[in-house]
Amino acid sequence: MPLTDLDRSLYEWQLDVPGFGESGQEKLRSSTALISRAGGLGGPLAFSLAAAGIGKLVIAHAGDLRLDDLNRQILMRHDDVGKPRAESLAATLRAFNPQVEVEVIPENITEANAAELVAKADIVFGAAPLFEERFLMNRECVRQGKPLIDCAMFSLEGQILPIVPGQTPCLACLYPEIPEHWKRRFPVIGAVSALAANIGAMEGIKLLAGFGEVSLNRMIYFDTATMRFQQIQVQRNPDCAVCQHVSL
Amino acid sequence: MEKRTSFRRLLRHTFRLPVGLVLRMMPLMGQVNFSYTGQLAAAAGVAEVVLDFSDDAVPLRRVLDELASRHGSKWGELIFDDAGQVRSTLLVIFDGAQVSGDKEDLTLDGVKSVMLMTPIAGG
Ligand SMILES: [Zn+2]
Repeated sequence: MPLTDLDRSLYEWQLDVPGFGESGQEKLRSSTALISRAGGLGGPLAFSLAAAGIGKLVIAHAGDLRLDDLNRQILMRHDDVGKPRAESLAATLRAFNPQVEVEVIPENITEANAAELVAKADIVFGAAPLFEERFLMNRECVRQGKPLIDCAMFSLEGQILPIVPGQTPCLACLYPEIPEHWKRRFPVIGAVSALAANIGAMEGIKLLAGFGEVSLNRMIYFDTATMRFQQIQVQRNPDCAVCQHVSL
Repeated sequence: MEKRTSFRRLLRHTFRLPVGLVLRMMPLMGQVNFSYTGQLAAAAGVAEVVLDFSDDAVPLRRVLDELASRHGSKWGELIFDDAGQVRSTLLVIFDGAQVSGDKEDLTLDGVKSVMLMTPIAGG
């Protein structure tokens, strides 16, 4: 999709980024991203993709906004406590960048909707707080051959795993079963989830726009307690129940 | 018991550091740096320990057993499943690279750093 004059003005400062330019912007403009939940992590991620000029965002997020969401869920507004999160985040994104098409699904990822939602997207970002939802995204992305950027955080740490089916390990290669000890409630400072989100957003932007070096086969790990950043080599599990038969 | 004696000792002062503070020291010959992420660090009360071995090819399993006895049951539950096996979801990183295969059979032959990671999904 060729850029308009408005696009050139709006994205002028990033068109100067080496390797990105107009062709990168055009690719972004033609892309749809699915984000599984737009909370402390998915919210800033959606914000950054909207700022960068992604064509369309599909966001799955259920429930009503709670006061204790607001230390991290930056797409929401204080006045919207008690109202559906989907409405609050859609209003913020549309006001921020009307050029971006925003489709908000007031549901979380389930067995019933995962295939249909992944089919809408060129790339998927996993930001749900439950492994059940992340595993569904992973399975569907592998089935449909779509890249998945799995972004996660806990307390002061973050992990970002870019997954390209057939080329990198999938989430199930690393974790062959639902981790028993993960709990829905986790410690979080909004700046940490936003950091994980923006690293994930950048990996996705590079993948879509075709520039830079995506951290394939390397999980990005950081710990803001010490500001230690690391890339960890990861590998496919030849017996993976999800991706063992997938090859490029 | 013979095997236990080759696992000499944990450096005690590393255990008094609060979570998040990392003892910055270059492991000496025979020393292996163990670091924990997320829930493991929270359960242990430390994010990093340095272990001193007199034997090169120490089985990881034996070290995990020893660490579990020192860090307590909460830490041990994150590492071992109900059958007493190392959890399939535990990521074991040797010198910056994930190790595949049966975690029960790994040895620390020539390994300088071991990172133990539990899965996280905060969003
Ligand atoms: Zn796999």
